[in-house]
Order: sequence, then C-alpha cells, then structure tokens
Amino acid sequence: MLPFVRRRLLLSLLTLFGVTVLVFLATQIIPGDPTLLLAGPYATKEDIEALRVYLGLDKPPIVQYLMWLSRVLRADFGTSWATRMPVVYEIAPRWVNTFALAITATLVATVIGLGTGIFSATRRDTIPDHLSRIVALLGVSMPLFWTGLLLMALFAVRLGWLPTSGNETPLHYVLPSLTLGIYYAALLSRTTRASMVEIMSMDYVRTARAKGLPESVVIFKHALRNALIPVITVIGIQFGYLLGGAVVVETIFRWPGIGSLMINSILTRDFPMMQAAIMVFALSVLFVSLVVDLLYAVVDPKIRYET
Amino acid sequence: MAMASANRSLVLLRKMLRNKSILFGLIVVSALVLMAVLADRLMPHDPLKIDLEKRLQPPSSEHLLGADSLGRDILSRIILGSRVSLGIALGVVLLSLTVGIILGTFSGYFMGSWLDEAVMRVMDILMVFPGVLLAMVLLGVTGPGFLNLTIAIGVASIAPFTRVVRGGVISVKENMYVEAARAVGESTQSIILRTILPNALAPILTYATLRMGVAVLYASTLSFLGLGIQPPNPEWGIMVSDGREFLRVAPHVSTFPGLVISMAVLGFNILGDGLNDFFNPRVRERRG
Amino acid sequence: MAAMLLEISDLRLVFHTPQGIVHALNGVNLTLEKGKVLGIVGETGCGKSVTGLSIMRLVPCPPGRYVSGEVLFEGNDLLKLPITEIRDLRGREIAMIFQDPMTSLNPVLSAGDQVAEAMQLHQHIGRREAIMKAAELFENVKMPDPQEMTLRYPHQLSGGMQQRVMIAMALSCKPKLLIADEATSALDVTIQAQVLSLMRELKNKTGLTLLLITHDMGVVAEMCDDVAVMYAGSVVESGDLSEVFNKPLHPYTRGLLNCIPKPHVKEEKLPTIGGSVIDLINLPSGCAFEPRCAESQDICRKETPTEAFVGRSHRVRCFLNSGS
Repeated sequence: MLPFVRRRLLLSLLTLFGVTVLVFLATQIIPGDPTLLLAGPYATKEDIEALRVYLGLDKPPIVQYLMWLSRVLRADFGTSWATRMPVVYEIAPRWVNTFALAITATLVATVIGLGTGIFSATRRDTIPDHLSRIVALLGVSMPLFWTGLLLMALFAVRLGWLPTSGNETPLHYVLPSLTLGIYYAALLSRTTRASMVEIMSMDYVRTARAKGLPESVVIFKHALRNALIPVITVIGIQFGYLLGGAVVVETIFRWPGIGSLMINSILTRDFPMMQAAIMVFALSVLFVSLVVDLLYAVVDPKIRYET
Repeated sequence: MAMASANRSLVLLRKMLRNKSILFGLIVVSALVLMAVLADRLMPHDPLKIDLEKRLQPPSSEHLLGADSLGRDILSRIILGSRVSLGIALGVVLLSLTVGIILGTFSGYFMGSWLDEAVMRVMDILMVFPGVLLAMVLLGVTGPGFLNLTIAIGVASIAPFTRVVRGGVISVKENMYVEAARAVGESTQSIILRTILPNALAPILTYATLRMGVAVLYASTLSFLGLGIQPPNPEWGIMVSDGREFLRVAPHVSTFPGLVISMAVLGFNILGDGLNDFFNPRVRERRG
Repeated sequence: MAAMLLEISDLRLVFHTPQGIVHALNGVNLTLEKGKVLGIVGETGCGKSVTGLSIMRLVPCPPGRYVSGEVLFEGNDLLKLPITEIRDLRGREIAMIFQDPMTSLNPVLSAGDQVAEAMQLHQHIGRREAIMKAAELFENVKMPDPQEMTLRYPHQLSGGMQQRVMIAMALSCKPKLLIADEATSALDVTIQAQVLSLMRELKNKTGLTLLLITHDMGVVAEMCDDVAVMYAGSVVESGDLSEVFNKPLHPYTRGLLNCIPKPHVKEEKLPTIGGSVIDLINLPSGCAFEPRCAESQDICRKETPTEAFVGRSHRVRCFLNSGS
C-alpha cells in the first residue's frame, strides 16, 4: 500500500503546483494595469514607477511567479485591494464557516441520498423506485439558487420559522444545508442506485444468497461494500467542492464563508483576495481527494494488495 | 448503399423513440427549441418594454405570468430567454466537444504515452475546480457578456469532455476489430476516423446531451450572480435574481423563470438518461 | 428401492420479458438417488442451469414464474416452502457452486471470511472458530498452505484455487446435495481434471450426492452414474449412463454423441446437428426438436411427445423410439 500512498501524494503535489501556475497566469492576463488602480488618482508618474518596482512588476514573469510562490508558501497572500488588510485575516474565519456548512450539508446529503439510493435499488422497477428516481431527477435539475430562494420564500419569509441570513445560531444552518443537501442528496441517490443495481446483478451476490444468508446481510455486507466504492468518490468530490465554498448558497443566505468571499473579490476585482480564495479552494479539494483515495485502500482490498 | 444506411438510421431512430425517457426528453427539448426559434412570433408583449404602472403585477389575463419589477411581461422575457440559454448551451457544447474530441482521441489512442500523461495532468488541474467556479474565475478576468460567458463555461467543460472521449476511445480500442483493421494495414488516421470514433459516439452523444443541461444551469447561475448576461437582456438567471428582493410581495417574479430553468435542465437530463439506458442495456438475463 | 433424494416432476417455468414470454422449462422430470452422481447435459439455453437454480429457488421471480410442477427434496416440495425455510436449506442441506469462480467470490472479503460465513450462520459458531474450520476445509480440498489462504482475497488466487474455495464454501456445512453448475467450464483442462477428481474423492468419502450441470460430454462420461439430456426446457432422454451412451434413443442424444470426434476414425467432415438454437419465446406446437430432426414424421409436428419408460431407468421423450 505504501507505494500507492506515495504515488498519490506525488500526484497531489504536482497538481497543486499546476494550480499555482494557473492561478498566477490568470492574473497575468488581466487587462489593465493594477498599479494604476493601487496607486490611486493622485499618483505621479514617478510614484507609479516606484510602485511597480516595489511590487516587482518590472521583472520577467518567471521571476514574478517565483517571488509570488515563495510568499504564498509562507501563507502571505498579500494585502487585499478592497480592505487594505492582509488577506489571511479574512480568509481564516471564513474558511471555518464554510467548513461548518460543508459538513452539515454533506451529512444531510449522505444520509438522505444513500438511504434513498439503496431503497430504490433494492426495490427495482417498483412504483416506490420510480417515484424516488423522478424526485432525484428533479433534484438535480433545479438550480441551487432557485431552490434556495424558494425555501427562503416559504420558510423564512412567509412562515417566518427560520432566519434568512448570517450564521449565528444553529437554526441558521437549516436552510442553507437543506438547499445544498437536496441537490447533493439527489445526485448521491442516483449514483448509489446505479452502483447498487450493477452490483446486485453480480455473481457473488447470487453466491451469498446460495449460502442461505438473510437478504439484509446480502445487501449490506456483500453488495453495499462493493457498491460504495464509486459512491465514496462522489461524496468526497462534493465535499471538496463544498469546502471551497458553495458560492451561490453563501450569497443567497449571506453566509460569511469562502464562497461569498470569492464572488465578492471577483466582482470587486480584488485580485490578491481572489488568488488566495482559489488557492485555499484547491488545497481543500486536493486534500479531500487524497483522503478519499486513501479510503479506497481501506475499502477495496485490490488496491491494498496491489500485485 | 446510401439507401441501406438511411434505412438503418430510420430503424435506429424508431427503436430509440420506443424508449420512454428518450421520447419524453426529446419532446421537452424540442419544445424548447421551438420556443427559441419562434420566439418573435410567440411573445405576447415586447420583452424590453418598461411599464412602471404594472410593476410586480401577479399573473393576469394581460400578463399570463405576471410582470417584473419594471413592469415587463415575464412570459415574453422567458420566451426570449430561451434563445439566450439554448444559444449558450449550444455554443458551450460545440466548443468543449470539439476540443474534447481532439484531445480525448489523441490521449486515448496513445494511452500511456507522454502525450496522454500530459493531457491528463492538465485535465486533473482543471478538474480541481467545479465548473461554476472555473467559469466564475475566467469571467472575473475577462468580464461579463454573452460571448465571454459561452467561452468561460466552454473552457470549464473541456476537462470532463476530454475524459469521457478518452474513456470511450480506450474502450473501443480494446476491441478486436481495431486490431483487425491495423492488421489489414489501415493507417492510424483512417482507423481513428472510420472505426474508433463512430463506435465511441454513443457515450459522447449521451454526455453531450447531459452537458447541455449543465450549461443551461451554469449560465443561469453565473448570470444570477451578476457575472454572465447583463441586464436588460432577458435571461432566466437574471430574472430570478431580479425577483430576489420581492419574495414576500411578488414571489412569481423569481418562481416562473426558475421553473423554466428546471424544466429545461430536466428535459436534457431525461433525454441523457434515456440515451444512456439505450446504449448500455444493463441487465443481462441469464438463462440455461 | 434406494431413496430418492431429489425428484422433479413436470416443472414448468416462464420468464416475462419485454420481448415476450420465454418458456424456459417445459415439463422437466428428474430423479436423483442418494449418493449418486447425475449429469445434466445440453446446449446453451436448454434450461439446465435454470433447473439447478430452481432447486435452490435462486431464480428471480419476477420476472420468472413457476407455472406448474414440483421440486421434491426428501419428500418436501421446495417450491411451496416459505423463503425463510429455503434459506435454512441453502448452504446447509443443498449447496451450489458456479461457473466462474472469479466473479462468484466477493472481491472485498477474504477467502476465509466467505467460507466461514455459512458455518457461522448454519452451525451458530463464532468467527474465529469458523475461520479455523475454514482452514481445515482448505486442507481437505488440497489447497497449499491452508492457514495463509484464509487471509487471501479472491484476486490473489488462481482460477483453480478460487474454485477450490468455492467447493470448500459449498461443503462447509456438510450438505446432502451439491449442485455444480458448469463448475469446470471456465478452467484449464488440467485444472479441470484436478477439480473433478477432488469432487469424486469428496463424494466417495462423505456419501455426497452430486448434480453436475455441464455441456461437456467428457465430464459426464467420467463422473456420472446417471445422465439427463435436455433440450428446449425439457428432458428428452435420461437414465443410466452406460445405457444412454451405448443405446441412445433420442435423435438429439444420438446427434450429440455423434458430434464427439473419434480419434481413431478418419472422417472428412465433423458431423453436426443441423438447424440452429431454438427460440424459447415462440416454441413450435409439436416436438421442440422436430425442426432439426433428421427422422421427424408428421406426428412430431402436431403433438408433443410424452415421456416413456424403456428399460428399468431409461426414459425417452420421442414418438419414434418409445418402443411403439
């Protein structure tokens, strides 16, 4: 298993490296001169030139990249153009908020999605299965922002049961997690069902039945353990994406997380903030996918004992 | 000879239409296309006409789906919006499909080579970001607008497409008839174009259909966030965003456009699901 | 009269499919004496596997449906028992091994675990004790290093080893009847010989009754006491092995035996049975084999032949050869 772990880590690092290049390149191709923005309307030509040297913008791109990379590695993302504060101060608390939302939403989605997926697969082609599939299909077709607004309109605005913005109390978690949860539960339900249906038609399920095992053991011990392998991937990927900030949901419910930070920095063209948010996102996703791959080794002995 | 292949296509089409999902999905998508094409004739009012007296009017005989915050007819704007959404979806799929086929075919055919590894690493990097985010960042750099939106979502769709094409090519490549073609001395180019691609078409077509739905979803999401289509152009996402402040008094402003988005995406999803079922019959009945 | 362990009478099974109703079994009659080896032969699609699965009630119903017939095991009709009692029988009294051991073993569980499962269930022993017994079983099926093998996963075993695991699994609770569905078809010839001799040895040691389902006449000739030839969902000829093979009465049986290449006879062309595999959705009205039969007559097209006894245990389903 160790060579597998080593290979995966190397791949992650390589990808991370590639992401940094991408992020840096993205900022290089922005039209317009950032120094003019930073310097302000009263700067003279000399001031602008001095600022350019200070920012290192006069050096060739490779050097600029390396300078930038070394700063990033020291967790120094520079100063936000909007707030004039070091970017890290903003990001850290926001990341925590996003993390809390991601965990809640993933929990909701996993419980509902996995449950309905297994339910559907074991009652294949019956009416409950068809209903479940239609609902799941609807769930993945509805845009997140619309679902969120509808839920908000019903539960917060009309009924007044739940708050509409912020994240102070546990009640605040309900609507955003539900919005995300519905979408991802639908996705998981479809994935789980498809995987289970395929596994249930496998020969070894028949062997398990031939031994006289009760159906529940056949489903959970034999079928599910195999069916979960692709499902874990989906859960992992979605969790990783959520960690980067569910931009839409955070915007609608004014959740102070990385997602809303990202969109704000884009709209205000605050590039240091944008870069930092992207890097944090990439780190989260890569970390989660690494964990997921390691989880594979636990679940799938073919990976554990690679011949 | 041409007659024979035309006949075969007809038989194939008839078999496809027997699949309920394909049939239903096709109906919804066709309705959408018709709406977009015949928009000028279908719209009861001018979608851009502002009439402040009719602000936020609920559905009535004059405005079947009501009026928005500037008194514009929602139904007309939805109808015209279909043109925008479908146009973007088509552009996105064309762009990412083209690039995806080129990259994926070479990557898959020369599986394991440095070319394949290089392409796959780049795709890995791109796939770190979910499509919306990638498109968002691109739009942040380029600015909003119809063309930019199409390109941004298109670029974000390249990586998954490449993967699917590559997977399809690889699975076809394993088949004996490819070896047979090579043994007879067919050139690589000919093998790729005449044997591999037509057989790999099924998963590509299925994925392209599903991706159309995703493109509509992304376009409306990005426009909702203010990064895509700009007002006063009628686009379903912006229309939902417009109605945000009026959820209490006039929920119809946000509800109807969102409903149409859902139906459009649903149509593509059902069609895609049906195509998937059609091309991959899952259940192998074992008898005797 | 020796005790009949298994008796199948007039078993009829259909499958409801989108393409139509498939008549998989059309009146199957079989008897299996305790301690004997019965071979069921036939081409693909004749219903031999489904017959085996039916004994264990492993045929999915829906889309399958038993129209009529009985499957008597020690006098009890298995088709009428509640599923809980069937599950009790499975693995404990009747066991089954399948064609492809690689796909028939669960890839995420160790070999030892899978063999231990049945014992834990039917003999109510704990996991540790069951795995120890599994190692013993591995020794009985002549696996090298049995202790270590219990820890291995299916993908770490060769085809022959995997099939031995399956045999060990099947025999773990000392069943009375073992059904082998094409158990050696996926193996190399040499491994096949090893597995077959192993099965014979085990049978001799424990008095196990064997039902071998195969398309390989050679396997039947080597292993079986009795044979049943199936075509299109019914048994066309059955009886004592030497009687059926030396004096085949049904044209299909004759055709099958004729097709076996004779090494010491010079032949220009290998004989075949004309025609193609039957369509089980649209069965002909008379004898199912008639379209391919060289000796068919008018009555064969109009009526379905019934079973007739020729000799002590020899049965045929044919108008021409039932002694009339």
